[in-house]
Amino acid sequence: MNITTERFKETARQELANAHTQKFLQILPLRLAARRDSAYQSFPDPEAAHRYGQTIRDEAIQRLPELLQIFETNAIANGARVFWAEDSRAANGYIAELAKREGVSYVTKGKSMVTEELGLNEALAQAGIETWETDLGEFITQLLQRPPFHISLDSGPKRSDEIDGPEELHIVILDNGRSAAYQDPKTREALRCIRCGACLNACPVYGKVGGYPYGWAYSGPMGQVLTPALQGLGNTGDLIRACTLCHRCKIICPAGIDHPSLLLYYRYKDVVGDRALGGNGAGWRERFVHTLLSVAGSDHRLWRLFAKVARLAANRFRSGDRIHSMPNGPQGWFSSRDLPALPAKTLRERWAQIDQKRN
Amino acid sequence: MKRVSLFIPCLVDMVLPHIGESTVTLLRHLDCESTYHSEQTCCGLMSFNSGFRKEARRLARHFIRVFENDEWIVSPSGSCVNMVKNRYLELFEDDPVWFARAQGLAPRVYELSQFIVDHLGVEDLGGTRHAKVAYHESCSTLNALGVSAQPKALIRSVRGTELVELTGADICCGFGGTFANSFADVSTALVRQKAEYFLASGADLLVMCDPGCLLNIQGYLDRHHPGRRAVHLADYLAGSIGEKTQVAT
Repeated sequence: MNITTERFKETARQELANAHTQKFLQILPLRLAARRDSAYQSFPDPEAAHRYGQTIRDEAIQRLPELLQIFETNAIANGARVFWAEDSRAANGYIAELAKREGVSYVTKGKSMVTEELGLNEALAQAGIETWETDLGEFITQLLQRPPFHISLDSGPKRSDEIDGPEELHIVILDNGRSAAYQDPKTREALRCIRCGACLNACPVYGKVGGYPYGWAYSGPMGQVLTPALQGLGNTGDLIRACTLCHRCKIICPAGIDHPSLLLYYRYKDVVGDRALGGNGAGWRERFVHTLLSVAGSDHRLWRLFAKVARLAANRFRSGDRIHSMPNGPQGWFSSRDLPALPAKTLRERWAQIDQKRN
Repeated sequence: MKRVSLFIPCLVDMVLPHIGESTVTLLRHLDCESTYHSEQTCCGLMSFNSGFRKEARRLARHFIRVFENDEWIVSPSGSCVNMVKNRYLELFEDDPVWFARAQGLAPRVYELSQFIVDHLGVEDLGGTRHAKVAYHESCSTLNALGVSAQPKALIRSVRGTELVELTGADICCGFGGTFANSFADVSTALVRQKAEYFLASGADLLVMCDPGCLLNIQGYLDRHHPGRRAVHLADYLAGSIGEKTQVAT
């Protein structure tokens, strides 16, 4: 599928202006949160169940290489054929070749985010093979030629009594960046994700912009931690910053992923231009601001001076007790908000007076 | 008398100093003596959140040097407390010496309402203030520190104050530091939603524990709903015990 992660802001703006999206988002997260709450109440101790789930995922990911080997052995022993695909090209190639060899003209397909990641439908179409999504929601998005908006909604029809068993079972084990993500204990944490979508429904940003701005198979906080781990930081500069660090995803995650901590890690790796993750490095302006902050903040006399200069600079634009705009200031902030004019004295400068009065 | 060391966020020091004064007022009311280290600067939250860890570490080392001999360190900001209590450990994960110093400091750092209720064991300040208020759950305060019952208990204890329900009280106001500027469209949609829920709640005032949310929400109200007020918990409570803190500009 097309990766449009680098257009996060642009797509977000379009979605904020899209009445359909906004109407949908007003209903969706609340309804899903209510469903989740009632499901959780079916556990005698929901928090213990939550912790148990996290432990299972943690163990499974720590043992992933070993478990995959066991899986392959068992699968082969049960008559399946296993193919290890290094990337999406290898996986799609294997599947398309197999279909051609067997004279297949169309395939049916269950809802699967990993095939979105592969762009399997497009690859099969190129090989002249028609694909039919069996999941109703996926079928509709297929007809609309759009990527999925949400990752876990809708389930397809199932009639277990009609299942007759396949003649051949082929299993593709996909790497596509996962081994590299596994090497770093931090990014490894992202692999715990079970694609349940709980974090999407909890996320205030997703709740406003929906799934499209995230630009790849995985949207919401799970996309923000997975996409950089699998794709690197090159085109995900906005993606890793499109977060207020509100921590709701971390609290709700049944796999125990600490999304805020991972996003902060990615930002750090991006700023320092980390090679393994393909960080972009920071612009001179931002670098200057943080260097200035850290130098001034290491000495309270410099800090005092810094406060004075900031006050003089900001208050040049005051009108009454407010600042409505600044020519070279934060335009995004002033697009919808004022700032208070800075008071004549900082708390530090008032301290002698406060101390005398109160203590 | 307990000696409490004030950890004043930069935003309070430079922009909203009345919150700091109200903090001193409340602590005094509770028989605590406030000390203020004038060497304190910035905890490094903004640099850390922006990915500038080297710069944040420099600020964090300064912070630790200034505060590490204090027994009780109290701040009227959930996000700054979270930075010092939890994020410093990530910041120094590869530096055993400073990690240990950060670890030693962490349990002594409290968010204001947490200190009053959990540590001092006070849920009623004995104040009176006639108002209908709603409470905004600041994300760092609620989700990172788990502080929510404490400020609400303090608000409910004020005679004449009615704490009304706020729809979406625990949904982010869209501040997120530099997020508010660099993702202005999304941030605005969130703060608009917060303001709408506040207006619909019928409350006179929207109370919160974080100066960042306050700057954002009040900034939006000033632009779009002049006269409507958001207020920091410290200011609200200080007002209820008769020590009316002047909002200086």
